[in-house]
Amino acid sequence: MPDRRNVNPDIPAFRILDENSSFIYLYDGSFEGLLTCAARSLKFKSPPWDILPGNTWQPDFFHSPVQVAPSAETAGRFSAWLQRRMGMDALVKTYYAFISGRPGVERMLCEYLETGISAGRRIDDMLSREEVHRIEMLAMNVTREYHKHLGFIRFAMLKNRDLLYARIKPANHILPLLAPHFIDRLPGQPWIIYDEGRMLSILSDGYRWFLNDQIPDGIPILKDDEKTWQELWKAFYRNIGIAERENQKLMQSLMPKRYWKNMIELQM
Amino acid sequence: MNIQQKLSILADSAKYDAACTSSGVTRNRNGSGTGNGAGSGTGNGAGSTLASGICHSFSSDGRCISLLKILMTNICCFDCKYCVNRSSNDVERAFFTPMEIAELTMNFYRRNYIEGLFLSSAVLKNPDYTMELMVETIRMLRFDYRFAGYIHAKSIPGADPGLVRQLGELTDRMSANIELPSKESLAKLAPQKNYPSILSSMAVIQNGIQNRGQLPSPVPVRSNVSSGRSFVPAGQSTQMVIGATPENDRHIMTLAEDLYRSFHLKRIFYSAYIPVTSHPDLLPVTVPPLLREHRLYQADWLLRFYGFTARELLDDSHPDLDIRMDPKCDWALRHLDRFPVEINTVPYEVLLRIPGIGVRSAQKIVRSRREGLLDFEHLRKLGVVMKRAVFFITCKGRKSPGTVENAELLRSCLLKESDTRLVSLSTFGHSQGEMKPRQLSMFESSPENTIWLPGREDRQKCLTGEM
Ligand code: SF4
Repeated sequence: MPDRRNVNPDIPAFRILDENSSFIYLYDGSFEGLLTCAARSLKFKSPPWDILPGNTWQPDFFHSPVQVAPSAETAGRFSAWLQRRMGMDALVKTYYAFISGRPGVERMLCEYLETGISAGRRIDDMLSREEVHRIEMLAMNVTREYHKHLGFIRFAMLKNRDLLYARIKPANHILPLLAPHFIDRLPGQPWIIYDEGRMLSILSDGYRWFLNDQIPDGIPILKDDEKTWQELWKAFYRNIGIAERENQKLMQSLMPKRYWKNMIELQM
Repeated sequence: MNIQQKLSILADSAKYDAACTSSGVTRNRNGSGTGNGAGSGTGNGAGSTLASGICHSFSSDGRCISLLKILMTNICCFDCKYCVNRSSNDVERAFFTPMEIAELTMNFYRRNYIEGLFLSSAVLKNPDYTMELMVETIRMLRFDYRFAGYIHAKSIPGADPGLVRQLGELTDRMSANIELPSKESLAKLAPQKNYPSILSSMAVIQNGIQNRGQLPSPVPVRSNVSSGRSFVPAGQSTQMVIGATPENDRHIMTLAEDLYRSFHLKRIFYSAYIPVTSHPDLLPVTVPPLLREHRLYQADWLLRFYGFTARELLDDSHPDLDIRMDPKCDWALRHLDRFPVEINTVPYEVLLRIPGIGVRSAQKIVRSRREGLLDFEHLRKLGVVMKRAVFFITCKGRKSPGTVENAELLRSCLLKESDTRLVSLSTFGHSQGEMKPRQLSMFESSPENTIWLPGREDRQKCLTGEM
């Protein structure tokens, strides 16, 4: 592995984590929380051994836990600084990789930020370095899933106030990424997207949105003519495929089966 | 006939249009014709168009579905011999009213089934009458339904230029299909159509694009939805059927090159001929030449994004693409004297010509090598297809161990690597008979050396990805 400490010899190495440290930071699992931890580690120049979400942490004999409360202000200032330092692209990748929720992503992100802080905008070009490549891959994975969902989400119109309702089950926590797109797409139209796996939903009145972790009660009741539109869509789908070109394998590689459950044209 | 039956017939008839029809334009929030329904006060016009096309589903043949692709009608007074809807054919006919189309589009859009509408039509009564109905339909969608999403409309061959312009004012993309790769074939198979009128429609659209905003709009009351709406903001495209007529690949690629240059087309779609009908003038195709179509798309990419010219790829001694391997590999094998090249020093343009290196990996190489010399291992990480690339490159002056030098051996290595799965698709309708490539006289050429970057839209048709 390349030495990742001295990317730019003119700038002293920035350390967010330290292998020899005797304590760890526990955070609340939010991006803000993680940024708060990283900012604090840099500020006090006393890096922890690792940063872990409080709810998954298993006590060990070697590291004492330090709870760090998320601070919107610290996180905000730190991310603005990061943006100036390493550019918007790298900051966005940081966020995307974070919402992948991959176990151990905190450590990967800290290593990425350490390199980014000393290398600056050049970090986007340093793809041959392990810690950069790793984050690029995670971020790409999230981008792909997000982009697929922009198309694969299927709304049904509910009886109640013509509300649009959709269910998804993404691998990454992409709900917050989806909201702005659907607001742009359907201004003024209220909708709900429910993430079955995380049991979280996102609610919008067509202008603003918020995340909601209440499990919705009751079964959503469809509007009377909803079935008609669904049938029309199915009819369209059946007729648009060209039999002479049939290629199920290709189709399934582009639209993996895990998405089918919530796509009405694929329900027989 | 109920709407479901109509939809089945008119979607079925529209499916042979190859355009995969993703949107290629961003216009939301502050752009013109916004999703916020500029001027509507309450701001509840539906629609935004994302820069990179969104696929809402994939059909059983693996094509991206992003638009409601239908014919307005399949009642046709023309008799094109390659078409199911030709007047002499006995098929069930149907017709959508403007309102039916508008309702379908809105309701599908709202449920996130589609990104917009792709409206095409057979020729009802005459070209102008058909175009007027299409204009009426799209105007209804834009103004009465305040639909600001993506609309692609096909221009009807032989329609009045004024109507072509009107349609252009209302749509995001237009296409005038060239239909077949030569004037002679078109005259033979589609006697009511002709090259000059198709090319003049293209010129009208091209003209509208160039003079965006300079001419007064012929469409009244447009401030209602989209003040300052741009003329076909997503540009124009065209389509041709291949394999139904005897033109060779060299002829097709030369034509494509001319079309891109003259009309600044966004895309050309090549559609492997699917035998929907038999006729003595059509080549006896039993299986669509899908692999040939695939190679043409790859060659088309080489023209647009890799800096190749049609003449480099194909010439008199080599009039057709080798269907067994991608055209870049084939070109490289015929130019072994230019290889191997050193990854760490050659310019971007040369990187693009190495088999196994695509636009994206070439860019990544250029960026990463500023940060240090690259090795074979790094290249793999950057997404280079090493199985192909190793034969043509050196890293820090060294070749990868185990590469072959002998040209024949190399060819067979690459053939083996080339996707055998694809070869199983049959490829009829390959070049038979000679046709001389020729310039279409009305093309004025504007040399363009810019290397464009493929967007998501492009990738959807070139499914095997990087070459
Ligand atoms: S004009 Fe020709 S190609 Fe178009 S629908 Fe009529 S017969 Fe078919």
